[in-house]
Amino acid sequence: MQSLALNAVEFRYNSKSANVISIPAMSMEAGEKVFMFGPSGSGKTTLLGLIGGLFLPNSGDVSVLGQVISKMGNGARDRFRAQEIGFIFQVFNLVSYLSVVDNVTLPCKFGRRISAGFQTADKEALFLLEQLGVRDTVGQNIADLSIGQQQRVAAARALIGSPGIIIADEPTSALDEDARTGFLNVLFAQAKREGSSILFVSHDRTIASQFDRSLALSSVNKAKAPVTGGQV
Amino acid sequence: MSPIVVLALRSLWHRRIPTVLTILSISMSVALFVGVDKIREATRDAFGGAISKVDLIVGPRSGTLSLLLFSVFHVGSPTHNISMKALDFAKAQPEVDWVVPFSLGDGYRGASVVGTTPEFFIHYKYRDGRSIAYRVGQVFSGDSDVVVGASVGEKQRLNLGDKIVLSHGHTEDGDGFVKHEDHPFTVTGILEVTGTPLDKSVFVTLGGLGEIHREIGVEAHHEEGHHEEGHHEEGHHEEGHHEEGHHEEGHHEEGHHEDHGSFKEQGGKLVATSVSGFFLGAKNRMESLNLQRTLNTWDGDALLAILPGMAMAELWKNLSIFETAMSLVSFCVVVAGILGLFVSLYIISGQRQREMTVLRAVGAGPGAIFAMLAGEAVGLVLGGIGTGAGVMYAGLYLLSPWIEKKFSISFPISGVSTMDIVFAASMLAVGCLVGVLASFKAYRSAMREGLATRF
Repeated sequence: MQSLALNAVEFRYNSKSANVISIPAMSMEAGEKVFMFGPSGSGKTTLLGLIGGLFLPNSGDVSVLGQVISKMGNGARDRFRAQEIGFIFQVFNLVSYLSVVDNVTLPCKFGRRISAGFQTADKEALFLLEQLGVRDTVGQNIADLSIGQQQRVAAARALIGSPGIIIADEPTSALDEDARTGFLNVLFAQAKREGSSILFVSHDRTIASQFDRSLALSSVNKAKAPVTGGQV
Repeated sequence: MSPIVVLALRSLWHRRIPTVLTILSISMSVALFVGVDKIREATRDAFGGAISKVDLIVGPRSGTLSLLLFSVFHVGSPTHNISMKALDFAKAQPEVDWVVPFSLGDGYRGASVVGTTPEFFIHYKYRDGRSIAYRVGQVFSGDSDVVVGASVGEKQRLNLGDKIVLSHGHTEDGDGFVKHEDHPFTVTGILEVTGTPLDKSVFVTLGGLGEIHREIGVEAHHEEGHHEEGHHEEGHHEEGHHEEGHHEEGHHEEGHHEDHGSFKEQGGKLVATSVSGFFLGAKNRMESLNLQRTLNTWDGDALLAILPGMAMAELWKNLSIFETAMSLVSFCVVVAGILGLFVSLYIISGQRQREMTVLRAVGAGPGAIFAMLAGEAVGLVLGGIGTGAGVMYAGLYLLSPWIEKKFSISFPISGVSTMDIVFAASMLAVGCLVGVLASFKAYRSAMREGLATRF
């Protein structure tokens, strides 16, 4: 089963601009770990937005876990994202006024079911925090956590409820080498246990070998228009 | 409780300092607006409530506003007096229930002296028919007694039995030109606060007023250089002119007597032969217009009878610039308050883009984002409105007795006015608008910005 499939997807930010995404075909298998790289402005963030159902393509279909999310209504797409897609950002992953456990269980408040074997979301959150090596952060303020600890808590949030796919947008760029390796190891282990696919975007190609395969965005994205972060 | 409500409450608690500052900012606007509105309302009420249950005010023919101003507000002075015959003529009308004369023109440390009869305290009402009440003491019974208004009693720290000396003439900030030290008055009553010019008045009998001019009148006239000494004492002389109906001469005489009426010796006492005017109550209010016409067309003294309500409305209309100015202040407060609210809420919502990014990423839909941001905005506005209105009304409740004593302006704790509701609704609408704009912006762009964030 494919966890992700893009078919003739084109996207531009407004009708007068050129396409920033033009992907004839792209797919990921269930449980696959894909490393995607590309220079700044190549459309990585825009592509993640399309896959997460935050943007709608101007043409073509985006399917996640067999569901064409680009054809869903807004509410259904939001619920689907809550249920099946885990996001990890580069920074500012956590809600500062919530506790560590509440941050991890946040998706469950918007419809994500907890994984089998757990009676409550809190118990699953504590289990994931334990597995990711940040169990001792429970009770601490978010602002007091290191970047590495915050990323692991964010990973726990992405993994809770065993979503079908995890989208990670350069989550290791703020980490040193040891922390980066440790983070990837626990992320992979937990994703494997949960059966989740991982689409991992990064500039850092030294970690590419740890994934099932690498994918240069330029090899699938035929659009030539440069994109700058946050330009929309 | 809905997770969105929990999140919103936790978010507000987390941002409690800016939240409290925003609520304070809104509450200050609300308090200022309500305060200005209440001052406007209280001023209008104080103005309109200065006289009640009096059907006609009658004085020498001059202008409506002039008569109203000197008879009720003790501002200015009558051009001349009217004879007691006019009073008798009015009393003789079958439609008339009561007539109360008054004479003005003297002062006591900035307060107006009103020469009148004990019936004044029975018939003269204020603000929706309230009767004049005594804080202590009672009405004057002799020509050496005086009843003082609440502000006068308070300001001069007067007690029952105290002796006071009135002055000839009346100035706003002190005594008149000549003190009537030869005839001190004894305080027999101190009135309750009325929030009207009564508070800044002292009341004596017409005879008492005559007594203090028994000697000083000579000097007063002499100073004015119109008559030889002793003329004033011969009160009957001027009365003679009236009786003969020589109005020109009568006016001439009364002009010399200032505006506190004139007197004649009768049985060892001075009795009034003319007064500044009189208040009149009709047996049936519907007869007021007929009485007005009768008095205005009397072929004796040249009289002017006015309906207090209509004269008040005309005066207030003439003073509409005050209301306009207050309305302008209110409008500026509204604009400043709404702009402040908009800027404050919009900045706060802008600072929360990353929070919205995370919420959207974990599946929060537009409804949840809208409910959270709009709910918070509306909550802040409601908090501000409640705090502002609460502070203002509590302040009014606590300070109104002092304000009433100090400024003779009454602040009744009235219900919420239409203007208050319009203002509160405008603030709420802005709160909702900001919430909608912020949530729309968050829904459209938070994720893009969050995803695109780089070191």
